[in-house]
Amino acid sequence: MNPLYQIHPLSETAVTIEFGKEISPLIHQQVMQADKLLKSAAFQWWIENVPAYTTLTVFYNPAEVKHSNDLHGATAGNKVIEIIKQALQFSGVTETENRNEIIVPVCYDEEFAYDIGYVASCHHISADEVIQLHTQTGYTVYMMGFTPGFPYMGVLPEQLDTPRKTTPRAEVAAGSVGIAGKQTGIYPFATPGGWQIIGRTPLKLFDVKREGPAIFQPGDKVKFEAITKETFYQLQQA
Amino acid sequence: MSIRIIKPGLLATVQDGGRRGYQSLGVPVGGAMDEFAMHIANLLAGNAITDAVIEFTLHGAEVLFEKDMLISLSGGGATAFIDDMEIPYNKAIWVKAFTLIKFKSSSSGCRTYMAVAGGWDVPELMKSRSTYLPASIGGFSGRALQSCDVLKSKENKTTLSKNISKSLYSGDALFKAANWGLFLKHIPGYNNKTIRFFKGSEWNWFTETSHRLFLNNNFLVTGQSNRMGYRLKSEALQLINKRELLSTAVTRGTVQVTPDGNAALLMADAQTTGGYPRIAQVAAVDLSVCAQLKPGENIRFKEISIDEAEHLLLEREKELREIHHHLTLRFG
Repeated sequence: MNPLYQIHPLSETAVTIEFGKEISPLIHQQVMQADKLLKSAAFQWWIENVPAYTTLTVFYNPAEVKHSNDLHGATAGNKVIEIIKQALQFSGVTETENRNEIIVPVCYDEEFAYDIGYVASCHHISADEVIQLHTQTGYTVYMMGFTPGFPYMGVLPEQLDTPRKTTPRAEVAAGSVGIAGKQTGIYPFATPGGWQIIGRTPLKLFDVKREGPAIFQPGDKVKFEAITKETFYQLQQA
Repeated sequence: MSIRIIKPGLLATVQDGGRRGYQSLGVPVGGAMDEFAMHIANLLAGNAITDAVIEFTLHGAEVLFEKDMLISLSGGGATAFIDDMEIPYNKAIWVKAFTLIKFKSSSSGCRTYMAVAGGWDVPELMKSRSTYLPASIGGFSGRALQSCDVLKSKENKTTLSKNISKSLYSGDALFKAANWGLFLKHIPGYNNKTIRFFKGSEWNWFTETSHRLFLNNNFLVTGQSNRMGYRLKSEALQLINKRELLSTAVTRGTVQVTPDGNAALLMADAQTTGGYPRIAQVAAVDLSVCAQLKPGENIRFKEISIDEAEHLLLEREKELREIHHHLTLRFG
């Protein structure tokens, strides 16, 4: 594993491993590798990992660290950092893991795509070209956040790279597909939102009644598929 | 065994130790804002420290007991009455069936926890009984308690709960508070408004003036404060250079600074990730004091090392084990 990382505490119960400062597929691969490694190590004190663009944050139980290790006067936090560094030395795991590949149906009709005209005009292209660019690219889920089930995906083609709205909308409909800089994402719930909205998916992104409540997980591969309004409503009913 | 909510007050939700293991899907941990008060309330009712409790915000709530029950109250923001008799906080209390508890105003604190022997019986969703209101997840039907809601306690009670309950049973009296309780040093207090912190990951991004300001100024808890976090008001904190942070994990106690220079303290329902520079991390043991702040109150920050913060947290956990040990010796 790439030895170039830094570990710093986030709180008394979490440390963050930082693999770089920029969004890149390679750095993200390192984040996901570390995620897998530390999950499978099944340390007594481990609670959960939170992958992000360039970081993996590890939540732990300090009392358990103290209980299951001889600290020799060190703090639980220092001990966790030491153990993580040791664990990350095992670089045997290469990227052979099966990633979920998810096709997301999106209706890009103007009724749902509040900002598709704006995005198109920013880049002097047509709305159809926005749709084409958005659907022909493959994306990776870099991280989840903002609300349960919200995927931060990248990397958007340069011709779609559009800044967030200066004033966020008070409410964006559930399923809205948005663009912010080089990222694309989907709002699972009706919430305030500042991303440029270019379509809507009928998929329910987060449902506590499902075994796996979220459709996406960090590391998933995603493609968008344009659908008509009729198909949108049919799928929504299904 | 059940209670009926006559009035929920400002906001009443079922909470527990939070939802662990789903942050990578963007699901906040949530749980009781004042974890220490929840732990204490649960221990005194003979429960495990993170069993489901009701979190009441300020005063106004009224609760009718439909059966004899063993409860305990901890936290602040209200004083509890049965008729005109005050019910003490931080005590085990036996309440007679068809008794009404009313929460009246109190100058100290903001949130009261009501534990019941066995814990409140709401379905477990994603390993927790906590209510996360923004996504209507968990707790009582994913929502805040409303008048006429009926809430049951779990049937399965610990030996500790049963024995405490037996010892307090008082026939026709409306209630009985235990004549034993916590050592004074274990009773949560909320008058000290100095919040200990250690430097956040982006502390060095801020100007020296901002550092001084953070260490010396008062910070006002504004009205834009809820279970997700508090917007704080003081002089603007400034970055040395305008820089952007890539979104990364944040947690309860993280103090972020928004582009307008204002600080925001993340609380129980904190988002899992954030993209604002983090100037500070509040010591976990002081988050209880934070949970008991009301809008309009001022706090100050005092720096400690992360090692000390960890030590304080481990000591706090030891305290809880001691209380449990004493209870077991007496009632186990």
